[in-house]
Amino acid sequence: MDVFVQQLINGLTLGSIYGLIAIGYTMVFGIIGMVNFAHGDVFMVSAFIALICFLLLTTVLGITSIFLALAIVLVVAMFFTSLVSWAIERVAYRPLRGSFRLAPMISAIGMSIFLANFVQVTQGPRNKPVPPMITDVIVLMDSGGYQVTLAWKQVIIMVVTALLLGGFWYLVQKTSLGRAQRAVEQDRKMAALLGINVDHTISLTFVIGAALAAVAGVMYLMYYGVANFADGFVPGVKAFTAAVLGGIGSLPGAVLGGLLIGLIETFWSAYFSIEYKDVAAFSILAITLIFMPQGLLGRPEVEKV
Amino acid sequence: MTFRRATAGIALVLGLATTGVPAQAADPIKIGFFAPLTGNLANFGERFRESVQLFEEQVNAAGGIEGRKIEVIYEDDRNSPKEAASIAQKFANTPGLVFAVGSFSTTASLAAAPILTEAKIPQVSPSSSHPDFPKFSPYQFRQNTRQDKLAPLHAELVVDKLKGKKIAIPFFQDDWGQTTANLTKAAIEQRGGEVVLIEPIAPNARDFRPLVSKIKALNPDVIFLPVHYQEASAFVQQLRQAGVTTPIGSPDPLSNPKFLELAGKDAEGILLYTSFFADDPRVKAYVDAYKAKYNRLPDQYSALAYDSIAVGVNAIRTVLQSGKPLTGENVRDAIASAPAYEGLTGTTKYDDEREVNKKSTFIIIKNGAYVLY
Repeated sequence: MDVFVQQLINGLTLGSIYGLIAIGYTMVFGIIGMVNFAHGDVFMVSAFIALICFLLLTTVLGITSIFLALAIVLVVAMFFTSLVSWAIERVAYRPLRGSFRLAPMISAIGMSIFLANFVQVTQGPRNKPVPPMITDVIVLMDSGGYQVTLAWKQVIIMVVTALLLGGFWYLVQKTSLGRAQRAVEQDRKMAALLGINVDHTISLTFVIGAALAAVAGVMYLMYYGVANFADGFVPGVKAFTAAVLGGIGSLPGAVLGGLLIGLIETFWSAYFSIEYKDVAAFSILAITLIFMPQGLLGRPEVEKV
Repeated sequence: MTFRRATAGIALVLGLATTGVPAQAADPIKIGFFAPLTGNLANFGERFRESVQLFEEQVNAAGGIEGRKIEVIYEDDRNSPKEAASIAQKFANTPGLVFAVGSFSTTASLAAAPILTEAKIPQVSPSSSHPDFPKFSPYQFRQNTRQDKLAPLHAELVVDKLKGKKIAIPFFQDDWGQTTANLTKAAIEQRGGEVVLIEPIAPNARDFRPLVSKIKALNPDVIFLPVHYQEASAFVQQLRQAGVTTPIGSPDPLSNPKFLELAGKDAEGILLYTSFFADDPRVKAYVDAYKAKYNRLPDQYSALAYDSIAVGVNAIRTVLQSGKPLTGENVRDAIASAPAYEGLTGTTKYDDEREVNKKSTFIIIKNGAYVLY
């Protein structure tokens, strides 16, 4: 029981990070029907921006309050990552919007390789560490020598994910920006005729997705203490899987999918073999897609005539 | 073009076989070097290159070998067998090249082996660990001690030094990690210890919390960690943060200053061994020269590469002094029959299987530094 609770905490934390990244995939797919393969690398770039900013704040400016530093890092990372993502959309995707369906996707793969290599060249191929922060833990249960602990880091990650999901859910459902987004998603031409600035709306979608990825990047850096140029790939693929599992295009689906992938991975490692954890996670994906092609919370595809 | 190069190669081999004097006495002596200088093993290849370059400069500054300069040709194999083979081909086609250092992994070293053997170029790998590597032909040598000869040392570390009865082994998921874990498990059981967990850690993995929770529940007395430093540092941090204070023993890859930097205070108390210890007074001259040139401390891999080229250059010197023609074949014989050589990583004396058996030094991490145990 105690080990189960511990693994549950581990899984939920990991899943929250996947979920935050997955939102970016799902929103972009929802609005322009394109898988943004560079999104995982945007996440990795955000972790590096956070790392540089954190080191500047703590060593050059001498900020000692870790929470203040984290808050500043979060804002800075969200800003610069959004800028990067906006630029990518402007340079690599928008000119291809009228082109055949595969063109922007291939462009996205190119951007992904570009970002990873750029970071490798400028930051070096090794893991870059930050000093461990917020190492305090809460002991939840103490039975027979096994302590179930919940780290403050884990609390922060889960709370931030929940708050952001709530915030962005509100944004998409209740604000005019959200309405514009949903209109563009349903029918781009009609939305344009009705006076919605389509380009602007799509740009904003990329910016929001990147801002969430930046939050995930900061959380990732705080949780694992290192960043590496290759870190975009695996979390990116897992988050994409989470988005598909939850139902691509659905915001709560992305978070649910992320949590599920995190939990499956963790529990498989805990009770079976760690070697096969990715096999387990991706098998569940395959099974879901066979029996529920629209994902867990996705709407069935309606052919527009 | 290819045809011309091939004929040149054949002519060269014939030249070697018949006349035995392939190069003019005033020409520099060429030495081939290949290792992964880019890609995910670039860390190690870079170490190799730095040491070999340092050695090359030192030899040439001291007037070369018997008055002849050496010239090392540096090649990047990206740890790809295909690249290594084409580099070997290039070496085989280079007139006057009588010795090669490389590569980092057995995979790349073995891919070059058939071509180098055919061209009669002796090859010393600083770190290829697979048992089969020197068995390939009499032209393959290595500088590191074979894995299965290290297993008793691991058992000694875990069972005798750390007093472990219940041992957990998270291992790195590659050839080296898998073999080390299995051989060590057998050696531990032979000494009466019990292995309660043996689980892989995937390359570039970040999240070890499920594994850590599992280990915490099993409550072993010792953790043996045959894992490279990037993953190992993340693992020990997550382990210590979860409140697990179990002592850790590890083989030599963690004797890398980068590990201390990445793992920080969570590396404290880890017991390991190394064949090269930078604070050892006997290697001070090398360490100072390395630090002056590259502004960082050399590690075990730098030292192994330095010893690799040193062994080759010593053999070249022996051949030149003996008055025999300088051919790969003669250099090979000189390496195989050389007297014991006191290098940075211990004594090199090749046995009939072209293996070395170097003594390791136990070290422990204390106050953020490696100290003798």
